[in-house]
Amino acid sequence: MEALTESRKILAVDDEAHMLRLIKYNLCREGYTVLTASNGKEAIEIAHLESPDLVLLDIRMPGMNGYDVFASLKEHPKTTRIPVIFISILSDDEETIRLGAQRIRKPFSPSVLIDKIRSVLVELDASEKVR
Amino acid sequence: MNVLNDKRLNIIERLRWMVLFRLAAVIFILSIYITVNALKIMNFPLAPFIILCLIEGFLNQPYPFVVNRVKDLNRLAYIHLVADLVLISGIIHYLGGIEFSFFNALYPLIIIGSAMILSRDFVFKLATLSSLAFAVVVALEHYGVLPHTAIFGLNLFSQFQIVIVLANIIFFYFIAFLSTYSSNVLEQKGKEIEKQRDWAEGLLSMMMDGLVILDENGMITKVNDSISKLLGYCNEELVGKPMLETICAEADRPRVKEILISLHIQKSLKDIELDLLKKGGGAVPIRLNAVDLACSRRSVKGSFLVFHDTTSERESEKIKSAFLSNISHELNTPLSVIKGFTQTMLEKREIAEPERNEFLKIMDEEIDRLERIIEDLMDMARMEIGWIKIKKEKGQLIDVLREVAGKFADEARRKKLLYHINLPEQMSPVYFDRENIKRVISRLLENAFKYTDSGEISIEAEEDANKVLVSVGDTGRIIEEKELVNIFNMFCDDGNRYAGLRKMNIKLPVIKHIVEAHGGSIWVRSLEGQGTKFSFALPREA
Repeated sequence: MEALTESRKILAVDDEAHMLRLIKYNLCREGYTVLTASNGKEAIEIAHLESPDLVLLDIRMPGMNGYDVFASLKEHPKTTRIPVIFISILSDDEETIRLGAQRIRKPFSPSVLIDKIRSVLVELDASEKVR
Repeated sequence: MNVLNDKRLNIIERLRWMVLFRLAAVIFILSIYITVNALKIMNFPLAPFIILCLIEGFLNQPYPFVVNRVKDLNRLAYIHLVADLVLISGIIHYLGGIEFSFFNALYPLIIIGSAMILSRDFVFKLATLSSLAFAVVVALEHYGVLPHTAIFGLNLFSQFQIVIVLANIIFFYFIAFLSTYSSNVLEQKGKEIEKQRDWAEGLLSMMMDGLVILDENGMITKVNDSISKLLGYCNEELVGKPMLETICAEADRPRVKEILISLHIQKSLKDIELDLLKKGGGAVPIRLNAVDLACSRRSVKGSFLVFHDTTSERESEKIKSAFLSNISHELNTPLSVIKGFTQTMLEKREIAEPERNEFLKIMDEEIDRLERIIEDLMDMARMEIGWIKIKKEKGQLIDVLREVAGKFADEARRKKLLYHINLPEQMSPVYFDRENIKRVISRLLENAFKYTDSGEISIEAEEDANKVLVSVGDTGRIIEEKELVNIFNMFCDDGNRYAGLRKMNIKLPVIKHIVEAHGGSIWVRSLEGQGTKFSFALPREA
């Protein structure tokens, strides 16, 4: 299990550098490989290049917003199966549920984030096995 | 509404005139009676005439009492007329027939009276018909078809031909005078009513709010220009159409139907929010106030609807909520970072010293950021209540520019940006508020540094005979055109709630407020390849 975790690549997308630093520190400490992007365009590029196992996505960003990035990821066969967790202040759960994505509300505590990531990855593994 | 009662007032007025004429006739005949008796030309019996006067008096006396209680005045007037005709005919017949010429006066007077109740040109028709009838009766008597009637054995025709002819001439002149007079009175009355109607209609058409009058079947009988304009119709297109199907959004129809039914019961309804259908599609949000017409006037059924366009209110609500969402986002962002790091540090796991320091520094920066946001909010509040006061004093603007520009040199080094301070050696003194202009310059520079990650930032100043021009340029993110339009507006909604704004809409409105309070102006230019440049100009004189 531990070995599996280590190889996991997570892409965090947020326009706030400090928020990225917070996420990166906490996830690295859990053994994940963390990639960061500060805008939507960069996020999509990295997603295509690196094929991360999971994307943490801020919704409110200059230029492309989180939903735009999500739509773009889902459109492409290479990135369509990457699970996404939205991290946002916005309280529109309905939209995230409609999109079939997970969501964490800011401000959050790091342990909650890590638990969420774990559960999403476990679910992903289970579904991969079925396939 | 006076207009609604005009018809009633008009009938009352006509009835009053009719009664006056009848009294005038009675007095006139009485005076002839007395004169004839006094001059001993003839000896008329007074008793029947006194009976006539008593009946007339009885008929007319309850007039004010009756008029105030009877609803259908028209019917009352007709009944009154017929009763008069029957009564007077009976008296005349009793006295000996229509040849008893002094009574001729009563017929024309009744004709006039009826004309006052009926329409104006009716008087001529009635007069003609009555004269014709009179002539026929006299002719029939002359040829012996009808028995010749005479009063108490006197043959008036032979003895008093001249008197009768004269009296008749006088009466016909009297009729002519009275009909002219009454028609004038009526015409004037009609004009007044028309004026009042025009006034009322003018008022309705001037009303900013849309107005629709419906009949009891929900058909539109009247609209004003405002509602037609709002929905994109012309008035004629709406009149005669069913309101529900024509101007109500399909989804709202059952609701509006219910509203109209409950209007009959409640008589008036206030502040109902609805959507109306525009010609060719599209909806307009409105607020509806309605009155049931039956409660103001019994003979008319229907409803009076006033529609207030609430588009701008809804727009401003939307803008306000966008503004609030912006503020909550701005406040939450530093808070989330602080909270995240505190939680991280509170966990029992060890954190290395350099990282601990790094996190503390980040938290400190975010706290500063929170402080600045709160300061901005305070500025905004101060501006809204007019607490930002400008005290202009003569001074060296160049000193302030140098001082503020110098403070950003470290920031430029930290972000590895080229920082050009292009200020002239010397500038003539200008009148300005030192503290507030300092704030303007440092906010513009903060803004430039915040959104520029590579390239350069510049501050420059120049002057001419009338003004001093200061510009802050950067090569950071370009402000989109639609954002530029509202960049100095505190409340604006760019329609994309998920987009991060380049600025929180507080700083720039406050800056604009300060510059304009100096009598100056501020503008911005943002072009791909050329960067963004904020410039403001201050007048040199106080």
